[in-house]
Amino acid sequence: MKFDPIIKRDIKVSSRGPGFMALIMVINVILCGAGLLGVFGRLTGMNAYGRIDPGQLLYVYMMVAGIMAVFTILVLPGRTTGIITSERDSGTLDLMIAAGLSPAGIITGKYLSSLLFGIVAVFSCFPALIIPLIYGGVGFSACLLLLMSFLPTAALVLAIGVFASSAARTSSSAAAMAYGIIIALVAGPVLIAFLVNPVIPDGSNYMAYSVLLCPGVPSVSLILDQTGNGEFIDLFFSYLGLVPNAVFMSYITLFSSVTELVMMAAFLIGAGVNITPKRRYR
Amino acid sequence: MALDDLSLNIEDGALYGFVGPNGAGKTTAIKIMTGIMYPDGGSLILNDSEVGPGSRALKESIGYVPDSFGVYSNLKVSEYMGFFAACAGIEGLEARKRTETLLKYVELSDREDFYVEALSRGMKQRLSLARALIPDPPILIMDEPTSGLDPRTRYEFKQLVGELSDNGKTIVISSHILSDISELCTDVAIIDEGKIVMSGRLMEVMKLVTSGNPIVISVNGAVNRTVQFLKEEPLVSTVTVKRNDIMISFNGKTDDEEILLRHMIEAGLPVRNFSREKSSLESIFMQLTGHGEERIAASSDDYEI
Repeated sequence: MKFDPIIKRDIKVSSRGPGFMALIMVINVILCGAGLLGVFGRLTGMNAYGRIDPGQLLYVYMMVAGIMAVFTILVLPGRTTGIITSERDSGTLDLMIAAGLSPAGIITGKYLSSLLFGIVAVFSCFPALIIPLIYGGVGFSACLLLLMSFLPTAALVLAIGVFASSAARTSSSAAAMAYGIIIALVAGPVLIAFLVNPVIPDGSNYMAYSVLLCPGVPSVSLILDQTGNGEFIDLFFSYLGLVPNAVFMSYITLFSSVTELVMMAAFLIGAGVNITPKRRYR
Repeated sequence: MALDDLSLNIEDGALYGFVGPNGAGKTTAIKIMTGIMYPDGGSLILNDSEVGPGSRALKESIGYVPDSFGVYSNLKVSEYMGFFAACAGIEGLEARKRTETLLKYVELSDREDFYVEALSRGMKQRLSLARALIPDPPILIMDEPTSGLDPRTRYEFKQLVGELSDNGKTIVISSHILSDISELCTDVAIIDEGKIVMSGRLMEVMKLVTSGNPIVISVNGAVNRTVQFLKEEPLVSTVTVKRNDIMISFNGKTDDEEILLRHMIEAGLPVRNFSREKSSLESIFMQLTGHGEERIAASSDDYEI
């Protein structure tokens, strides 16, 4: 089996630099610190009653998973916003195209090597995530399922970074573009739903579906579901004046995961188009 | 528009020099030839058959050495070669053998475990050449390959290019260093503002342009008398004096040159030398790309009468 040369090279280069390991270490130190402090705080409070309530520790689990969601959305795009601009700056993008690699092959190789990093980063957080579960609360498999729910989000934000990197001239403008897209995706649907509802109340329930475009919905909806706080999703929609149908609410994690993967594919296709010889020099 | 109706015909086995001022469109033309950039129109014909821009056939036939080295930090020389071998579909033992052979050829065998970024400029350029040779392409296209190299490295690099040409490779070199082009190349094309202003066999181009060069006349003293004589000649359009040399623009043929010389001797002028100024690639380049005036103006000793 032939191994993609770009993935092989990128893994080799990443493993030589301190950046990859340092980033994972920093993320885990923060998550473990938050988890330990949260558990310690809750246990201190429980001391007064003389018994341990695992339900209380689920709030710490929610907090750690929430921080993880924020890290996924905000840190991971930074791994890909420079991957095409740096190749372009050093002239190696031209060399790869001249050597016979297709734009789609280049984007796929660069993206998959970043995705591998994303997967490792997400699963490295497992120990931090189970710290609040020392007295029970959520099962081992549920914890793994939650980690897996981060993967579509990681795949999407990495693809946004790749797209921005292919479209921008410099890494800094690519970073600005990537975070601009992410902010627009997070805030846009909510803002539109909020604004549209008073104007067309009957049709505004359809706006609920636009929330699926927000990165992170799979993991957030799953955390709330696992911790028995699913009513927060209903509250969120009712605050916007929306009443989505029951099927949508039951499968929101699945629907949002699929939406994120579709968006990921769209951003990657866009990135491939951006680096085709027809488009690059226009 | 970077290129305007540009047409190049490069013979098999030629060492083709591609020269032009900055912004003339050399790099754009090279990027189109290598499939890195697509043209708005036109065609690429390789071995009598048309190939699509960026097609596999085109990429397999061309090795490209860009003006930037295209290196990765944190990658060793052998890994760099291995990566581009894999990009060209060559892997495993064959890739290793090819890497060893090529690194030996460019005299970098002892550097295969060095990081690419630690190599000197000349070594990086040799590595870039080795990389371009990985798929053993019949055509090599080099964009400013000797730019920024010290004289020794430049000499060694030219030797390598000469050897490759002797081995049957068709080589296209774009360069600002005109002495390199005139030393190495068999053919030349001069490009300006996206158009080819002159192309052909280097010697023929030189000969063609030399026939339009001024005639240089040296006299032993009597400069003013000679100038006065020349101004009265109908085929002489301008007369320029540079110390004891007189340069004239002469509109006649070779026979007319002989007649003029005879007239001068008969008039008792002390003519020591009478010849057409020799052309160099530099002078051709200056004439054709519209910068000839700059060179004349640069010499403060000259004056036109």
